[in-house]
Amino acid sequence: MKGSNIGEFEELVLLAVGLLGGDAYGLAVVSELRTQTNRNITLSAVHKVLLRLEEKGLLKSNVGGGTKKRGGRRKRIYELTGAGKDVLIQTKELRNRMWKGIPKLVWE
Amino acid sequence: MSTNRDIVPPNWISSFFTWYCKPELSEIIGGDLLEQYREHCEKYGKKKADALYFWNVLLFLQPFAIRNGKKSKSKSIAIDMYKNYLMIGFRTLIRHKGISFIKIFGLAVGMVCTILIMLYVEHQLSYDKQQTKRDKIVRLESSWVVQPPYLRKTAAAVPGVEEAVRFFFWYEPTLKYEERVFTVNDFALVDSTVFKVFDFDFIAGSPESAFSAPNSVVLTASVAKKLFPNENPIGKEVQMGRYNNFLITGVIADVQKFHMNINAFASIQDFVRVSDSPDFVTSRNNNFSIYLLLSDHVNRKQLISDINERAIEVDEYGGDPLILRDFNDIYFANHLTHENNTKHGNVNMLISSAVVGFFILLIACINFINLTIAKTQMRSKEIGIRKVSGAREHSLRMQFFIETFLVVFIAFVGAILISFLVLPAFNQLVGESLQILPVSTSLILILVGVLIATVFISGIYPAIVLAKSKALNSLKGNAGKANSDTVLSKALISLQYATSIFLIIATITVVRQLHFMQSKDLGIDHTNTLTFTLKGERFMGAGEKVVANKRDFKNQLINNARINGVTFLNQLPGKITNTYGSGLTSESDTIPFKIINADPDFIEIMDIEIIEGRNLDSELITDMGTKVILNEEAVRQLGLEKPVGEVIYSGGRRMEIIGVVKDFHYNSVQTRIEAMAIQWNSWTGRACVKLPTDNLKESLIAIERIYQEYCPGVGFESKFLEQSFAKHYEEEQRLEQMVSYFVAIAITLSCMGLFALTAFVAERKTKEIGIRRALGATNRGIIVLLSNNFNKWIVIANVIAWPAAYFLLTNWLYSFEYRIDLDLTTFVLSGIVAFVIAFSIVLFHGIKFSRINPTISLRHE
Repeated sequence: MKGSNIGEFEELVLLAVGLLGGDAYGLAVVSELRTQTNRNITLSAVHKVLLRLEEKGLLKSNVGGGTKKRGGRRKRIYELTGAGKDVLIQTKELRNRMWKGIPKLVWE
Repeated sequence: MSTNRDIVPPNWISSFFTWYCKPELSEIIGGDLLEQYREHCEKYGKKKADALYFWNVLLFLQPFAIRNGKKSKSKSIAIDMYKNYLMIGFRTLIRHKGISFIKIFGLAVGMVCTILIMLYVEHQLSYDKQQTKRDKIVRLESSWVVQPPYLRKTAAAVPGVEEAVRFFFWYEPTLKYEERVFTVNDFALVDSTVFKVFDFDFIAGSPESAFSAPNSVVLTASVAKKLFPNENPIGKEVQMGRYNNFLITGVIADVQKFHMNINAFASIQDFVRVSDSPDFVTSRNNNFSIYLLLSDHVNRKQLISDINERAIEVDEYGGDPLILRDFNDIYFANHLTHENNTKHGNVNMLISSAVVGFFILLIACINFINLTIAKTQMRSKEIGIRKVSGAREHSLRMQFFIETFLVVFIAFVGAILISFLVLPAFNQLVGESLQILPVSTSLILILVGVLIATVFISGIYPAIVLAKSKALNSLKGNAGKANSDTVLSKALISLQYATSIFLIIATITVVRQLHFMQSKDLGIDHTNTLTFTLKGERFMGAGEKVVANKRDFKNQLINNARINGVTFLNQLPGKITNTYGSGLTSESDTIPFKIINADPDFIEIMDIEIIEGRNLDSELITDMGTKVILNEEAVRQLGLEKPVGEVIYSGGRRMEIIGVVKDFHYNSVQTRIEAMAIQWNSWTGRACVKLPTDNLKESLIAIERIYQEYCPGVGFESKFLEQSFAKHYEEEQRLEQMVSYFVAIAITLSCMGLFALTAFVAERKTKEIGIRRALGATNRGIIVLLSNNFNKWIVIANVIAWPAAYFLLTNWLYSFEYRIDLDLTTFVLSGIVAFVIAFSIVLFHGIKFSRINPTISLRHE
């Protein structure tokens, strides 16, 4: 099924959207990811992924109000869809499973 | 923050963003960008925020954000409109073939001129630039360039100097390999460290090994090719002058874009050894150009004062204070004295040619502007319809801009093709070997620059004016008729004529200067003089036997009826370079004198005037080596009232002055006459033979026969002295040609423009002329009507051109030692020529239109 496999950056964006609760618009996601990952993340990259995730059905969005800061332009606020949440859970479980499978010897 | 609202990113970036971004994304992303921009502003300040904003906008240039034709409707309309603009543009071009031709041809010619001139300028600026250590190289000079040889050691010992290299130019020695013998011009004797300082492109051998063994010679590719047409030159043994056993150890690519002409290198140390002349590098043999390679970050002021101190202390140097000349400044330096074998560029010339090139392009652009605006009348209906159907000003602007671009681009392609075709001719004109292929970055920059400049200069004004015209007026057919436009058109035409007038003045001045140089009394008669080198074994050196051989040879020549006179000397007039420090006492022999070794016949044969004392006397053997004849300049520099009988020391030798000759141009008219002395000794390897004016061929055969008897098997190469002198005018002759071409182009373009424009004006006034004619106006009245104050504009053109010409030409003339003065007649004459041309064009149209029967012209439209 399309959407069940996601890349690392897509996962990060999904997580950030979840983390931000009801205030996940483009720039907020960028700031969040910057503080979390300490990477230089660009607005264009985030917007691109947001659009793709919405296309995949993992995110849904509403147009929110504009502020003076934005020159009166509106925001698009994203939230996770059921499918989105499922993907996140699946990814996490996959990781956990694999983590547990690593023999202890490797860590020593 | 309340101030937030006032901070906005640069408008053009935002417009660019909304232009390319999908409309459905534009608001959301635009908002984010703006918010981010304001955060950046607070964090980093406006400047950096602007840059980041621009960068972020660029980052959105990805397929997901860019509008595409399929999904976005507005885009497809835009594309259709552009197609329409292009189509209409093409149709207009085809409908008005004559005007289109004037526009395109004019622009193409203008662009060709600019491209070629910029190529030339670029080429000149790149002189000496391939030397990687150029920022650390200096030349050791004083009031003159060439220096005594011992200063190398002195300078090299000063801390901060890494290497010191001398260049001495050996006077056209012969190179002999098996049967082949050639004289080699520009033969440099150098210190063996030369390749540590200067970079030359080795084709065979290497810079490290070139001078690692004694008796090494490095040749340039073209000399090597001449001497070894089919063999590998490396390791071949050659005879250099009269010295055997020299080995070719390296071949370098021909030295180009370097301020010295060099065809071969050999080492000074070898030369001193094989010629057994240690005083070559110890005496006041002021013939060496000394280059120093400095360490990084050395204090040059300190360095030169150290060198001066040391020179006085160690060498008892008594010349003018030494200075360092930056290597990068050498090529464009002016008025250096006593400089050997060096090429120079002329900055004023370069600037002038760049300016001229630009102005020719400007003339073409002005034609374009004037014709486009004038033509609008015919297109005003189209503009009106477009406006009525809802076209905004900016889309009209865009339309005209695109049309301009179309025309300019066609012209541009044409210009590149023409450039290719005329490049060989242009190369001949400027005496360089410029290339278009392989395409270099600088060429691309030049081309793009020319294209953009042309599009903008010719596109902006018409686009603005035409788009502004009122819809109703447009429909009535009145667009572009506002008074301000005609004033501007005329102002632009005066600018064109100013350029033409300037170029005419320039041509006349160049021609006058050239004529002045060619007709100036040189003080020496170099006509009908055949010169050749005494190359055979029997003439090598200066021993008794050689002297006897030469005497015998000379007698044989003189006895021939086809020969009027013979003199042997060591350097030929036109290329006198030997310089020795001279003075009244052996301690103060530091004034550089040009020294000519010649036999006593020299002065008489070359028709040089003796103004005091006597000539050298071939009957008096005591005159040999001990007597000297000076020129006036030398006497002046020595400060002697009664020179005859005085004694001077020159190159360490004591000599008595027996006569003074009038200053004569021993070198080109362009170089200043410096102090010079003629002495008689047997180091004379060249011959000047005066021939009777008739039957040159017979004389040549006679000389060659006698020569071959003396030196069988040695090639006879001869040249007329006049040819070598003519070389000195080559550059000016080229300039004359170049300027006259530019004049022709500029005038043609200006006339084409004025011609077309007057035709328009006349056509626009057809009805008026008809009515006036019907009411009884005379032909004269109608011509006056059409000429419409042209006189005024031509006067203005003169006012612009004269000061510019005066300024630039004074500058140009300044580069000559002996020059003409600018005179008013040149200026007035040029003004009159421009006026006559302009007026005859107007007159032509006036007569043509006044002849039309009023009944026909009234039916016009």
